[in-house]
Amino acid sequence: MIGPFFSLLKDQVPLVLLISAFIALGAARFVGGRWSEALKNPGPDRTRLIRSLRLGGKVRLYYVFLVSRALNRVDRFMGDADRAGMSIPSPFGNRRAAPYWTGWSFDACALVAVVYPIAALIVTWVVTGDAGDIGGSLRLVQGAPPLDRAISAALVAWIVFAWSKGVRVEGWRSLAWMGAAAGVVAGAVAGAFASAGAVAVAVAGAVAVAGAGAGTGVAAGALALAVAGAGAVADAYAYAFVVAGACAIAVTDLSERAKNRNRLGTFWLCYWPVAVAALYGALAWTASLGAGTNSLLLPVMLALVPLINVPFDWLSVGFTRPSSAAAASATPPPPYRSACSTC
Amino acid sequence: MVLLAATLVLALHTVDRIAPGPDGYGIVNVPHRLVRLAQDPLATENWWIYLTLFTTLVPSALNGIIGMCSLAALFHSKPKREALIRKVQRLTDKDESIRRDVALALQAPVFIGTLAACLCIWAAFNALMYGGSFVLSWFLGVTGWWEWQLIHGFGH
Repeated sequence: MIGPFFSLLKDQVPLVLLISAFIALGAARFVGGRWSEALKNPGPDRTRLIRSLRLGGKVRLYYVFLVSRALNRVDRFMGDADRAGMSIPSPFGNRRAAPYWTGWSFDACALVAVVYPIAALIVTWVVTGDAGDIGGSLRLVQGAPPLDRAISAALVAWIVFAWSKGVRVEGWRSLAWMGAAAGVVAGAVAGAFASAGAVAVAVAGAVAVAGAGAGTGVAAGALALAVAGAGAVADAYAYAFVVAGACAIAVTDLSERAKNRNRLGTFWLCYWPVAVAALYGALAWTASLGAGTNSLLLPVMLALVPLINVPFDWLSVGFTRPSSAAAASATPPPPYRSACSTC
Repeated sequence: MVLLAATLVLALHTVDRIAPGPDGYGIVNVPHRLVRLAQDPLATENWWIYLTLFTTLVPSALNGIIGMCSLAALFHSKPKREALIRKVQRLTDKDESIRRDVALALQAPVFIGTLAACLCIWAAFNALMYGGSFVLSWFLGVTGWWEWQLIHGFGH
């Protein structure tokens, strides 16, 4: 196994070395060019160069700058940038308190866990035309022509774009953007884009609405389940999904209250096992009534699997944040932000 | 990752147990799905399963790339930087050769570090591409074995 791997590496070495050397030379010239003035005459440039060297060198400063920026973005996405005190402490002995594992990050992971399977299904179908069992339940047409798939992708992209614009502006503009998104969702639900995976478009719209509007995983999961159940299941058990969705929407209100009282962690600690147990109960009950396999696959794949996934995603993100922060803070001495002005 | 897959298999096996479909195999029919995965791992119908499962690895993969990029910042040790600072402080406009040395000393660590980072990322990418199929078959073997244990322990 190892032999062929090394021969593969050997075959590629000349080209890769050439490209890497080219990139490295470019980086070196860039750094050299920036300091050419500093090396000619004493002055502010030379003072900046000396300060930069004292703080670890230009590349190290850029590295810390980029990692810090990425971590700040992650904190903002997770919604816990100012909640370092409420986090489970870092296992890597980070000196600076920062949010690593919080209730807010769990909530954001829930949102991602709901979005991802739907996005993965739609992307796979758009690229390959293969819907599979679950895609079929969402009425993605197996082997649909590329044009129909492209229209679906464009509709989903439009819904996500229009809704995210709508929540960022105010007044009539917000209404216009949201109306534009809701119109496509309504059209999809009404079956106007039947060949273009109507239900999938509607579900994507529901998730976009919940994710951008409420910003919670609970809301996204609830709406996805309700819309998928109502739109995709043609048998008499569709009401079970709608009831499940309605219950989860009611829980969304609880999560909002928990958010406002800074108790999102406690909320998820109680809600997660209850939601998993309720889903199992609902599945057993609906199956005992004789529901079809396809109608039951949807809540399994759109609700149960994401719910099981959430703690793992949360753990993974939680390990990544402190280890990256440790790598960034282990580099230059104190305070990075003031040092950055020398970049 | 293995823990996540094992937990998902357990969760879906439980679904099959409590909600048997009309044919009695369970609505998910985990063994059937695992066999289909093993028979044709690259089939497009399985792509979304990989996409869903491997999201958990995205943060770790990003962390790995960040770690490899940090190589570019490693080759500028503190003693070398201090020696360089002393030289820069003493530089005058007549010291042409020293200026060249200092410029080289500033650029060399960037060159070596960036080269090392590029080569490291390339080797890791190749290892992933080459070892991916071995890892996948091992992974499917483990999940299949786990499902088999569940069937033996708790029944189909």
